[in-house]
Amino acid sequence: MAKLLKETEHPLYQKSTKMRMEKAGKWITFLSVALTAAITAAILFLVFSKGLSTFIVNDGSVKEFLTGKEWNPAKVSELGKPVIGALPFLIGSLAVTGISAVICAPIAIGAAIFMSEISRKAGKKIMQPVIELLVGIPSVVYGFIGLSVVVPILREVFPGSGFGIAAGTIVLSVMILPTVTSLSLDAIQSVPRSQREASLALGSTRWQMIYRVVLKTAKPGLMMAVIFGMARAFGEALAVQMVIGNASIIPHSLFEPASTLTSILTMGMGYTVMGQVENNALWSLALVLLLMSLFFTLAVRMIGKGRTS
Amino acid sequence: MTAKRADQLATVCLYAVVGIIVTLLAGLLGFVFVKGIPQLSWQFITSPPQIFKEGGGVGPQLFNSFYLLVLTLLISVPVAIGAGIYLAEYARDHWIIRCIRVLIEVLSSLPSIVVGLFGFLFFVLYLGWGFSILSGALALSVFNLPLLVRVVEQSISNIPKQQREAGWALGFSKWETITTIVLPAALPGIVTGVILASGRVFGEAAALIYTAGMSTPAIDFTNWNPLSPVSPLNPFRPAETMAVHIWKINGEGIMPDASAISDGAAALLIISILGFNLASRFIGKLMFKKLSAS
Amino acid sequence: MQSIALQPAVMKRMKATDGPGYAPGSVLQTKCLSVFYGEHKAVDQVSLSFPKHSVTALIGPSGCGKSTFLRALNRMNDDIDKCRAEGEIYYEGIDLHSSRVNLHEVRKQIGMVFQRPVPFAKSIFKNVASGPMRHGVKKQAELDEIVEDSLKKAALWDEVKDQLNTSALRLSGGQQQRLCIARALAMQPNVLLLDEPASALDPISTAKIEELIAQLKSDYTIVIVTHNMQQAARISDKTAYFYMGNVIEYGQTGQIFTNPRHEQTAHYINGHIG
Repeated sequence: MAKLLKETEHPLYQKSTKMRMEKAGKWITFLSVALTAAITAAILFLVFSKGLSTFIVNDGSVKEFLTGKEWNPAKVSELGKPVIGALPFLIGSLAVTGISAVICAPIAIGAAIFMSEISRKAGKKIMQPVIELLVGIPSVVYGFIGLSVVVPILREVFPGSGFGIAAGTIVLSVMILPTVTSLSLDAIQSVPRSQREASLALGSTRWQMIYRVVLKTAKPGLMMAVIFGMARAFGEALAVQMVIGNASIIPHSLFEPASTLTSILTMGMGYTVMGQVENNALWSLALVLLLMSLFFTLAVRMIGKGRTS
Repeated sequence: MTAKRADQLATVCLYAVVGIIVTLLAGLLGFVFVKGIPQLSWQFITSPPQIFKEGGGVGPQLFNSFYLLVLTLLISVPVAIGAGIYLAEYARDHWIIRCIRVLIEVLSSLPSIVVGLFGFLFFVLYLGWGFSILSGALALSVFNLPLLVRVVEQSISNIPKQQREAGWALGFSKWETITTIVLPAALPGIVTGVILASGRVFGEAAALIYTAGMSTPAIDFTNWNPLSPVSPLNPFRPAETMAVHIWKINGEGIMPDASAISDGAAALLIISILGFNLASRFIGKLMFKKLSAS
Repeated sequence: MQSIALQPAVMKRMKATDGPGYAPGSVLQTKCLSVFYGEHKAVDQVSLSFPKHSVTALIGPSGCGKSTFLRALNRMNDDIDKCRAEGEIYYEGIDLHSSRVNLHEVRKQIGMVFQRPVPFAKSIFKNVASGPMRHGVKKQAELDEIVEDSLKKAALWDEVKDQLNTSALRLSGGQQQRLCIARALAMQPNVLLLDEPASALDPISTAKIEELIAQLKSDYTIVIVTHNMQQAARISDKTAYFYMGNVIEYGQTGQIFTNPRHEQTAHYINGHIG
């Protein structure tokens, strides 16, 4: 028995503080992750509950919200429901997002092709820093330049005040350009060298190789890049708000004042009282914003999954 | 059109695209600097703004921007390091972890105005902190967290597996291996990422207008007692930052020199962010050198 | 009370010594040790023992399980997903797979050096000192002594004594590997596991490492995995030939290399399997 007792004193059986620290460390770091996730869940929950209360508490109509053209939540319609036609903002948001993606995509992808296929050296030496600098410019500065340069020019060239979807689009396409470019570059660079060489060995010109091999293989990645840019454009608030004119009507042209979901939110939130229908209606707009950003995230994930499988 | 001509044409087009982008950047920076730098003076960057007359400065705004940035980093960096460590080192392929990853990704893609509105609802109204530096710093932390978590996770994952095994083989616990071997080796990457993220935080406005507010009460730069209502350090006072100031005076500014002030403030903002970019490169390189050479 | 609870384990231990390959006076021994990667059985019921203050070489073709076996000895495989071990490993009579065993202490006593040198991105001094520091050595004088002693044992002291505060990443590959050995020695282990420690090094550095192993033998029990037949023949006392997760042959190195009992061993040693 004496011998056995001694065995338990062997250092291998000694508990050390390391084991306790190990547990504590794992828990502390897990709590940090959980906190981050919990914040997201809290945001989702709050925006959903607030945004849905327009329809549940204030008896707003979803159909009216999505198709109605008049936005005046304080007013009550003949049916006894708040007037919450958000169509002008939905159209405004979708228009600035869609058009800026259409403008931005070819330029961004072209720049990415240049950086990867035409001149890697110039790409690295000149374009890389240029893109990084553009990414760094804050959105209010884009909005401010839009306000002091783009709007006056549009006012000169086209009829109207210069404020409107066109101005918003120009500002946004410049704003998302660097993001889309660098993501496109990642997509293009992930195309294996061997595929390029195989194509060139078959006698293709460089452009044929780019067009038939590189762009084709990189297509899902490029789509992800553009969708990412659209998500940013859709969610951008201040830069758009500064140049779009903020009129809650559906504009007849790109050069007339309009509104987006974000511009109305930015303008209105400070002037409404929490819990009232005017305020809840704004939260419904925030909910749409959130749903769209979830949709964009989902789209990126789906494309990403399709690419890897 | 022959293939060869198409190739030439495409090359010309691509050069044109690059030309457009470079011109764009030159134009943007040129505009901001040419109009803004003449506005910059010691008086401009130190004196408080004027509401009705010209000659106002952006002193309090500049201070607020940095103060908010510092608080934001103090809050978000520790959490991000913890979360990044967990995701890189401990997380296994489990459905809970997958859910958490999706949530973090969702957070990173949320529009900043939504984050701002959440901050408004939760910190400003629910917790009753009002428009305050604290509310603003927390909203910015939420906005900053997902990006930082990704930076930390990636920097840590870049450290080769062998370094960890070498630590374990010395009888280090996983935690000791992470804190004494992996984290120091990952530090240059983390610091670079944090400084770059700082630039983003510094220029952010949408998340702040409903959390830190759009006004700066009279503050007394000689009073450094954080509990005093006129102290610049008081975390419960409203605080308008440079970015918010630019937005505000362009919307509702009634001082006669609003555009000149915006020019100056925009230049100041861009210069600060350029500073962050340069600093991140420089410090990252320096740290890496120090780690591998001294 | 605890001592009584221990008894069954002790009984088991006594029986384990009856297994094949048992040699009295061994510090470390395995009994029917199997290692699985998911469904794949990488090591199949291996029973070996490692006599005190001797060098045992594990040889065999790539993928034969010798490295996996070596890593099982200080439970390094614990940290690999889907990898699990069955059977027993006895170190000074204690089953290392027992849940009461302190894993960190196991690795402190059974040190390991890897195939590629893995210095930490720290100074030379800190590379060697960090182990003892983490295990409770606080006094600077004591640390200085441990560092000097370990570096001397690893035959590196003369080369680095004037640059202890420079980064370990500055050293050559061979120096880095000796630094890693010094780092392991600083923990004052009883057993050293070497996983092809010279395979990434040039011939001169390799010779230095071999010389070092010969010197260390007098104080440590060494188990070395190697691809290099001549190396195994030069430095080891015992040799075990692994094939497909099994030990085909185990015996005195001289006997294995000059007069193998199994045809397969002979084939491998003569370079027919590889």
